[in-house]
This record gives sequence, C-alpha cells and structure tokens, in this order.
Amino acid sequence: MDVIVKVFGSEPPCAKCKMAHDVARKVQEKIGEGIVVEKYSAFSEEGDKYGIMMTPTVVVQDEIAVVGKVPSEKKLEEIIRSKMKGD
Amino acid sequence: MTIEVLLMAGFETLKEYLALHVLMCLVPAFFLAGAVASLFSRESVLRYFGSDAPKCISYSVASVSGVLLAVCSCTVLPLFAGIYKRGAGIGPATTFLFSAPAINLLAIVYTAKILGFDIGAARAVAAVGMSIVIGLVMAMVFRSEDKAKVRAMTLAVENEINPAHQAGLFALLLAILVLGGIIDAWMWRGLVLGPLVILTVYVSVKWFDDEQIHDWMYETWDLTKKIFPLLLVGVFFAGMILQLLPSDLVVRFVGGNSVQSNLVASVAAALMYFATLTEVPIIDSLMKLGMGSGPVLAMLLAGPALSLPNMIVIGRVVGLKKATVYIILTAIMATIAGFVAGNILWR
Repeated sequence: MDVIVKVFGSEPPCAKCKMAHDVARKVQEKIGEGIVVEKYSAFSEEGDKYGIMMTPTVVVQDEIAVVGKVPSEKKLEEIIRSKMKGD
Repeated sequence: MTIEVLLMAGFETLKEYLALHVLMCLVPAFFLAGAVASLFSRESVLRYFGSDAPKCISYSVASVSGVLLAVCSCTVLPLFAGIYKRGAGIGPATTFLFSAPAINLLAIVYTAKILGFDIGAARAVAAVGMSIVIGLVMAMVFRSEDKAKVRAMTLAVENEINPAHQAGLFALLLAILVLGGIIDAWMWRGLVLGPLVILTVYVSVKWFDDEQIHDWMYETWDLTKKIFPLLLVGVFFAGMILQLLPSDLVVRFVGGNSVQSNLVASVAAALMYFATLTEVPIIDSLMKLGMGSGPVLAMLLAGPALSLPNMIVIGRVVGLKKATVYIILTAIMATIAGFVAGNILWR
C-alpha cells in the first residue's frame, strides 16, 4: 500500500509551505514508487481532521510528522522509509 | 513638487533609518527571532489552546504567546483558525489574533527604537490587555455557538532541545539586544557586547548540534530576507509621505488626542495593509507631521491586527457575523486605548 504524505499550507500561500511541498516531492522522486504526496489548505476539512494549528504541517500516513517548519529532506525520507517498512 | 524632490526625500529617510544605531538593534533582533522560530518548542505552548485547557489559562497564554509564535505574520491566521475550530474556541482565538501581530519581538523592539520607549511599551501592554477584553467579549456574544469542536491536534512531535538551553540562549540574545540599545558610548558597547557575543557563540556551539544551528541561521536569514526589503520600501514611502502630505491635514484628522482623531487613526489603519514592521516608519512620518501620540497608539494597535486581505480570511474562517463583530470591536478598542493612553500618559 502507498504511503500518503499530506502537506498542509496556509492561505494566502506562504513561502515555507511551498518549500515543504517541494521537499516532499523531492523525497517522492528519490524513493520512487509507493508514495503519494498531497497538498491541502490548513483551513480545509482535511485540516480539521488533524487539527492543524501551524503551517507547514506534514502528515505521513495519518501521523503528524513535522509542525511549523520545513523538514529536511533527510528527516522526511527517514520518516517515510520507516513507515514503508511498517507496512 | 518635482519627482526628484520626492525621491530625494525617500532616500534621505532611508539613510536615516539605515544608520548604524538602528541596524545595531535590528541585527540582534533578527537573530533572536530566528532562534525563537527554530529552536523553541512551540508545541508546549499549543497545548494550552486545546479545548480541554482551562479557559483562564487559554486567554492568558493567547494574549502573550504571540511573542513566541508569531515571528512572522503569516503564522497568525492558521493558528487563529486552529484555535477557533480545533481548540479553545472563539474567545482565545480572537485574543491571539489581536495581540500576536502587535507583540511580536521585532515589532516591539523596532517601535521602541524608532518611536520611543514609551510608545513601544504602551503598544505591548495595550495589545495584551485589549486582546483579552476582545476575546472575552467575542466569547460572550457568541457563547451559544461555542459548542464542541473537531478533535484537537494530537502532538506526537518530540522536543529534543533542553529547556534550560533554550532559556539561556534567549536570555543572552535578549541581553545583547537590550544592552545594545541602552549603551551609547562605542567603547562600552565593545567592552560589554563583545564578550557577550563571544559567550553566545560559544554556548550555541556547545548546546546545539549542527542541524539546529543550521536551522537557526536559516530562519534568521529567511526572516531578514522576507522582512528587510519590504521595510526599506516602507521607509522610502514614509519619506515621500513626509513631503506629500500637508501637515495641516494630518493635524486636522489625527492631531491631538480627541476621540475623533483616535477613531480616524484606528479605522484608517484597519483598512491599510502594513507589511511586518513597515507600520513603524510610516507612523513615524505621520508623527513628524503632527499626529498625536494617542492616535499613534491606536494606529499601531489596529494596523497590524487588521487589513483587507486578513479580513477576508477571517471572514472565511469564522463567518461574516463573527468577523464583522471582531473588526468593529478591534477598531473601537484601539480607539479607546489610544484615547485613554493619549489623555493619561501623553497629555
């Protein structure tokens, strides 16, 4: 099953949210198959589901991974890989 | 008046603002703000915004946490929406929304440096005090709608930084900032600040790992990059305003400390959009043209808290009715604060 990475950003768009999404996309390219990266507004219903308070927030497989800052590629990759192993 | 005269006025003001003593206060402030954004655990603060936190704690934390949480204004709206929809509700949410932009570290330091210590302090105190009143009024008006919310954020994020180290670094950076502002003589500055800076560098390397320091420097640079160019534009405009705006007009509308002057300042500020910190040089120009101290405070309070773009987002998050009440309430409270302070402190 695919690991789902959700990136929550602010409105009006903020620079860091865009960067967090870019980082997620880069990690996705690097690992290749098995990852889906999705982008949401913090004010959306999806945001309600996780109780987003700070942006960017990155959720990996329904678990909040990073809050309020841009994750490093290394860290996000680690988190995603550990989730992939878990399945 | 020719274009050259206007441009020259803009450049003159730029020169004045780029003076060494102003930069001396801004540089440490940016480092401090960067440290706050990257090294300090915000999760521990967010906990007090949960729906099960005691209300009085939520209000107090909401009124002051802007210092830690709102280094950049773009973090304010998501947090506001988060507190409203997923946490403590409309009261603490509006308290945070009002106070956060006004008490962010950079804004207070810069206000005190440019407009004077008394106005800087009044801005901070009034922002915190008024914000609680606004939150309580909002909660009272809309009490029936404040029902159970969506589940609050589950914070599984670990905080690996020692709180004592956070506090130590904060104290050191704050000391550099404050002493740099107080001490006038260059020799004393060197003698006192030099060792402090060296000590700060030393403990930073000792306490924090490479990645954390990298994050800190990155945040500092990112903030500088985001805020500084806009600030320069603001200063430039402030210089032009000084030439363009007739002094008697300013005195007529926002001079003195009448209720009317305060109201005009507050409503005008609510409709204007100020990029972070630019409210300061612009208000400085208006002051030079004869704006009263009370209206200055009113404008400092209403300006960063409200602008047309953020009114739109607020409306979308809480609905038209609540947004309207909040906006009117903010304009009124800023007017009252300006009027009271103007007639008591700065008569």
